[in-house]
Amino acid sequence: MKTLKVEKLNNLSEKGKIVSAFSSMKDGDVWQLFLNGNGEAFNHIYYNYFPILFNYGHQFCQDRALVKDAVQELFIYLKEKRKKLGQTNNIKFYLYKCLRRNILKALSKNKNIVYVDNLPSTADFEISISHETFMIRNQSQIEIKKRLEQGIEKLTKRQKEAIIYYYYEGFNYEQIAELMMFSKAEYARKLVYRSLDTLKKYVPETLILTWLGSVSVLQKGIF
Amino acid sequence: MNYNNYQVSDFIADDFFIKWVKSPDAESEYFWQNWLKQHPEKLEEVQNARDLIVSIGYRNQYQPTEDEFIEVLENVHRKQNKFQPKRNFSIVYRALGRAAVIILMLSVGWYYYQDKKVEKVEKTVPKEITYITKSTSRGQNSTLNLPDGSLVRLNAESSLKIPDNFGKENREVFLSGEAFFEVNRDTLRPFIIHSGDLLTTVLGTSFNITSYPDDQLQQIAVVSGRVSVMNLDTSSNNYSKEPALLLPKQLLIYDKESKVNQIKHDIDLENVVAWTEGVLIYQNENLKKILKDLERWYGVEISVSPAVDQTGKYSGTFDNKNLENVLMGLSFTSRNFKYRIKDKKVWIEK
Repeated sequence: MKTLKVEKLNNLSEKGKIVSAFSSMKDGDVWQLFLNGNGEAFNHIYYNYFPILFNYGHQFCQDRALVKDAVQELFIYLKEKRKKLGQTNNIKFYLYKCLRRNILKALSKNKNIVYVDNLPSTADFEISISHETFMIRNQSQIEIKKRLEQGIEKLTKRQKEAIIYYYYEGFNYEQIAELMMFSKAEYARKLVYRSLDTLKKYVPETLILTWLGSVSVLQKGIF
Repeated sequence: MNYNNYQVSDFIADDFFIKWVKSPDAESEYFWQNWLKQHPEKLEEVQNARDLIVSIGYRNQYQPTEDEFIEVLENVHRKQNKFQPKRNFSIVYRALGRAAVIILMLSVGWYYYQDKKVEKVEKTVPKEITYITKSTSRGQNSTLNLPDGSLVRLNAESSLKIPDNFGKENREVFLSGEAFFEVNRDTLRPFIIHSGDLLTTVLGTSFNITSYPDDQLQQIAVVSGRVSVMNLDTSSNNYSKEPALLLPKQLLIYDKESKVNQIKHDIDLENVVAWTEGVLIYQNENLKKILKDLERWYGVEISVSPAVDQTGKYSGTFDNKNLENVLMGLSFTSRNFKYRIKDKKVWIEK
């Protein structure tokens, strides 16, 4: 009994995610329960995805009311069209796809511009190299971080968007292509590769080798 | 795939590698752990590629406020009710329904007609709310099941006052002492706890509130979900407009004297809920506070000789121990006092 309780507590997830019986379930199963009309599953989806959708929407435009409405519309759509919705193994991807479409549609209405191969001028998608995870131990690492940031500045909005999807959101090329409305996954790959080529110009491999030479032995503990 | 000549820039462009970093599964975990065992010289490059990948994120992060979170949720639920599917009544039912409405209108009319002749009808008097109070005495604790399915573990010498209309419009209770709440989620009827100078509002979460009238500090620790806390301004008798929002592993400590909130992050939740499992946990706690707890916990009265220094800090875990064991443990670590137990009385002496 007691060990159970402790185990339950240790499972509390980080980043303010809300833990429920669904947290340990696969996306596909949670989604299926929601499709079957399980209200708790719907709430679980709302609690866990509302904040990240709110952030994602703001990457296209910083109009709080517009983004809030778009996210609200999305959840209302899910509830109303529940019986007609398809399966998914990746809830975040499914929701992102709907939200991206809704927000770009709302923005084109306002501006009379259709966003297919371009992002609105309000798009953010700025990238940070976080301090906590990118261990800085000496001068050459500070140098690498600085150059990386310079390189990132040179990327286009759409390259930044793809980089975020690939490295931060963990989407694959097929998913990125679907999100960004490419006809082939290959185009998403090319977009990421071109970005990496730009970054490489700013951070030559020789610099990375110096960096490697200076990495402390302590890190080996991680594996 | 031959990874032997891979450099950092190759790893960060490799799908299978990224998949392992971002969402490892049994297959990728097995492959990369094995590969690293065979290529220990690549360890640093792999580690650095990993570091680089996980350090990438949004520079500008936009967070919703608690109000926005709740507002949208409520709108979503309300909209749903408005668009409930139309029922397909048959003509017969519709006709019956119309007939029923007509009969009802007639009878209501008749009632009013009759009514006018009679003297003034008795107006509905606002019903006085009555409360049910559940209390525990020293040395006791108990579990309460509320009508909405929420669970309250009441610690020793505590009481929970529940209005008889609990759950009708909202879910409101009054706490004195300490309790662990596991609140069932009901987004339309928030769960509100009055305790001392603090007003705690939640939709559905688990958390612990400590609010003994004779303690200087009130504490609220969140285990799961979100909790909003407002302070009572005793001079105007109003609650603060801006609530403090607490997330899991956060602890709010309110000092009744200075009237200041302090929020601690990343607290050890095991300590918070230990009492519900019969475990006492202390980390650098002074003797005065510990003895106060022991009085409540074991239902005894403890007299402390003035010669005993009560300011020293103690740490320890007592897992379902009897009072004798706990006192023995404390006196052993401190070498500072002796104790005597007789029935429900305890003496602490130099």
